[in-house]
Amino acid sequence: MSFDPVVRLAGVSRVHGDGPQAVAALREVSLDVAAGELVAVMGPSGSGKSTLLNLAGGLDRPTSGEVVVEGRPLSGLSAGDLAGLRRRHVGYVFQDLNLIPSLTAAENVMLPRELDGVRMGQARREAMAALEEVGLAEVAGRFPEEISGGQRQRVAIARALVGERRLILADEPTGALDTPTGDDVLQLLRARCDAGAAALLVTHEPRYAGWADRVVFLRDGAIADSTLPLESAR
Amino acid sequence: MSAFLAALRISRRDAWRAKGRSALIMVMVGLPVLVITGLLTFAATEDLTPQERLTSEIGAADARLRTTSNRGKLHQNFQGKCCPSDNGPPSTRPWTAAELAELLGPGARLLPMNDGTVDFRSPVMRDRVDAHELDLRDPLAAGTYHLVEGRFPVSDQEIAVTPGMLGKGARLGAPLAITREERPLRVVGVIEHPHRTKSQEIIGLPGTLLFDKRDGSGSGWLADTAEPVTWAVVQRLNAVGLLVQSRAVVENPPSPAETGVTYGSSFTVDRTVQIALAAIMILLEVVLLAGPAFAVGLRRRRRELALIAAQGGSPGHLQMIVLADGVVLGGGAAVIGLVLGVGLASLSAVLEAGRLIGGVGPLEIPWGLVVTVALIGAGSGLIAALVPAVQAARQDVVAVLGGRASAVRDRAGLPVLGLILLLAGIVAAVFAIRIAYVWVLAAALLAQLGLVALAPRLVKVAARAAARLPLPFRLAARDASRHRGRTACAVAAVMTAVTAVAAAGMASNSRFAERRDAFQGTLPAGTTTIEADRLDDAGWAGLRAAVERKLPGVPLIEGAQVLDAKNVAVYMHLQTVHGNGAGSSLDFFGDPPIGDERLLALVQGRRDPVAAAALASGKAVVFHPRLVRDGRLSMRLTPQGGVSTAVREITVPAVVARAADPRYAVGVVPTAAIHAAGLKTRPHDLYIDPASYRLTPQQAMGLEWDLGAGIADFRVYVREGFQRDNTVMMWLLLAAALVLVLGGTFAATGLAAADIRPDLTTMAAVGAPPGTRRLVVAGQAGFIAGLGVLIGTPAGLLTGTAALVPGVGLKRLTVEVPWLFLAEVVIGLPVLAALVAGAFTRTKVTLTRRTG
Repeated sequence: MSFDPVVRLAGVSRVHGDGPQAVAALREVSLDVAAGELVAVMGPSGSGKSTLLNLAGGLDRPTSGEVVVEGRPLSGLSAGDLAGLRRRHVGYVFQDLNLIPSLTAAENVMLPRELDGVRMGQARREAMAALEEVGLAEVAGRFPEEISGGQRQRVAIARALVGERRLILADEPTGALDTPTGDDVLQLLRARCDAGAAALLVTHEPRYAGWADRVVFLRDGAIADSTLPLESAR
Repeated sequence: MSAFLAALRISRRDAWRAKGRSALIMVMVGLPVLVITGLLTFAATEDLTPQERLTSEIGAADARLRTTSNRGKLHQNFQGKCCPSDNGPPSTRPWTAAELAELLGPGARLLPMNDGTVDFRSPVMRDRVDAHELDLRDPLAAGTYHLVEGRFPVSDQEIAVTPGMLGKGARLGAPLAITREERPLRVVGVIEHPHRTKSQEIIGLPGTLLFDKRDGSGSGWLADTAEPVTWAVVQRLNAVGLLVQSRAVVENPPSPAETGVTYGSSFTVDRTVQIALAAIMILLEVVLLAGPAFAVGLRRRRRELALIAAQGGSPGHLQMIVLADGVVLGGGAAVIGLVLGVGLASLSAVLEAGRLIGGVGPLEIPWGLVVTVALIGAGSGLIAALVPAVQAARQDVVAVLGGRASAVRDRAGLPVLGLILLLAGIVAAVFAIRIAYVWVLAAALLAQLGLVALAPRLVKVAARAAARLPLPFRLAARDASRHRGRTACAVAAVMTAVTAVAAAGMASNSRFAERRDAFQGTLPAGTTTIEADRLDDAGWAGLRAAVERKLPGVPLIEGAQVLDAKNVAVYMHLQTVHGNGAGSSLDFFGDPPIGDERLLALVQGRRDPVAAAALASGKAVVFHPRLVRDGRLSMRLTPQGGVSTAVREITVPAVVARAADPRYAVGVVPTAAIHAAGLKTRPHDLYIDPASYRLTPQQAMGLEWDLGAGIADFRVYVREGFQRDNTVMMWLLLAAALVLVLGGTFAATGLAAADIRPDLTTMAAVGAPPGTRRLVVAGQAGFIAGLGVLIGTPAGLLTGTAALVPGVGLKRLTVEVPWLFLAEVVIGLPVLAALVAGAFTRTKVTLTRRTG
């Protein structure tokens, strides 16, 4: 496990609106996730979990503080640069509707590479490699609606890791799955982290948080606690 | 590049998934491409080049020679068509074969081929048709006509006819009465022209049909020569008054510099502007019609686009993906339209579908034009996807991923730009009305673009105004305003279509009114006229007696013709007195009738003893005050067939009276007044008052035929009065408005109805009856069609009026608003759109999964 953080949030705040209507979604949050580390973020609804994920991947910009991904501060980057950063370094996995319905599994995984200008053949080879790593090479040619929910999430994880990417930002990736399938997905995430990726996992299930190296509790936009997971939760 | 390929792949798959929406866009883009490319190919196929026409015109000959009325030098173009020439002595006798052989060189063989017209009588009708004298059996005639049935004529008692003649009562094997002498000639064959399949023609051997070609004018030959007839030979023949259509020259035309005959290019600036404006209008309409479908497509794909953004898709990538939709759907539709259009036209050429319109030609595909049309079609798809693409790039990815609904707010359009364009268009139109109507239309297009840019703002304002309407309509208006991207596009499409149609309707109706108002007859409509030239007193008496025998008891009213001192007939033009205020635009055409009080009663349409007394005292009676100044009527005299320099003017005493219908009465001049002016008169016309006896044009032709034997140089016809009719044009415009307004409205309403389904389900859940839901959808259609029509109609009326000004000037502008047509468009179309949309609404409640 390396101690050089893949993503670092330093005193990050995010306020929506201004004046009397201002709502602070995140307050002074500082957090590092190193390569090989799986960090679970827990907290009640509205505590700022998704906002944290959006800021970590450059989808949203903090009102104050700094986000650094792979040693690169995001504050000075344009929208285009941020998109480029996500193509090369960050992969998102959402609760459901992760994949483009009109693309096959392989094409979904190829997408960030193709958007990055990689030739189709090369992108396909990389996508197949990523799919093999998640054990889904056999569904490469199928469309999302032709595979199971668990398989869809695994394809999304493969996409999040295709190419040189090693930061996975997963927002309730098991929310729409039954328990055994959810376990499979978490097991896969864990395995990818053990292989060198860094993952920030938003979940409200202590059962899944048990797979993490560290659990961060958010309340009202601020970190309330940061602990090792309970071994019994796993 | 790979990103673009990925975008194309996404678009292609998405297009396949959303089949209904894709089909809608493809039809909107592809149908105009199909129709236009099909028509262009069809037109190019029917439009024959001089080379394609050659065999049908000269058969297998090397050249065709035609005589003219003169034997002096003339100039012709390479096709053997002539520019008028008065050179040389008039032709008085036919050319001899020896003369022609000398001109064509040794070894030349000639086959007579004469063109003209001939009268015939069949069991069902009498008529006059084209006739040709040609021995079709001769190898030189090969290719001029195909034998369909029977055989070619072999004697002077036989003729062949085209299939068109069968519809006029000619029958194979039966005799047909030819010429006024009714010589029976037997129809022995049915023949067909290779290109004019519906023509009505009679063909016989030389010397059997055409008896008016004996002075050497209008006759001709097919020539078989030892050497090709070169341009030099053609010029030699031109020098003696012969026109030549040479195979060698037509196949390898000389340059205009060599022929000395140049034609003004038909490709003028005005025409180019006209074509460009039409292309832009079609492009604009297609873009606006397809726009809502793209806008809705974008909204349905927001989540997908946000996911791509989350995976690193930049705003540029998102924009590219939506534009790829335009490329895939627009390009696909254009290619399909092109293939189908050209394919159908080619098929129709193979099947000789041109027979339906009587023109058959070899297949010709104008590739340059059809590919341009397809490219414009593909471009329209791309342009239609432009606004959604820009919106896609701007969408708030976090909000969309978070499931918060309206992530992209439909903007209020570009109101400032719209206003600037609108004002610029109006100002430009004010200047353009002094130049030419095409520039008025160009200015109007500028203003139209301004209105399109203003459309979202207008939708918002209109929806606000709908706040007091009953719930279903209020909901429809609010929904329209909330989804302005979709609604504004559809409203703009309807508005543009209505502007074009209302402008055309206004211009057409006003021009019709102008022609109708300017029409001025000299005799009541329905008056039969028997008119004879060059008859002496005995001939005239004979004609009159013959008419009396044919129409016993029918009163005949005599009219006279004016002769000058040299006994040359003259035309009389009435001179309008200008400058005393009336300011009307009446133009008086035609000579005033010359005769007695019976003629006055016919023209005036009533008994007027005062006017009759004035006429009897030698004064002209006129029915328009502007024709009389100081008690006199002024007329300009021009000798018939003479040079226009020999014009003189006379005045005769005149009184003004009132006619029953001034549109069909100018005045009557007594012979005494003509004689007093030093001129002579002779009987020239017999008029039959329609009140006493009315003939149809067919009956008039029959009378002419019956009277014809033995009397030359006279005509029988019925004055038909003002015959033009604008109804067909207005129906066509209404049909165009119907298709475009309903098409645009239904496309957008279908999309809107799908969008509002969750709201309708909610309404059903709280107890709204199916009727209310129907009313909401009807309201959506009514809102789009109504607003589009309300903005488009005044814009169109102003455009149509302004476009009339350059032709006539502001002072003489006739404007007649087509009220009925407008009512149909303004009230009828939106109501129809709402009724149809409401009638076809699905009222079954479907449970909708609600997100966000």
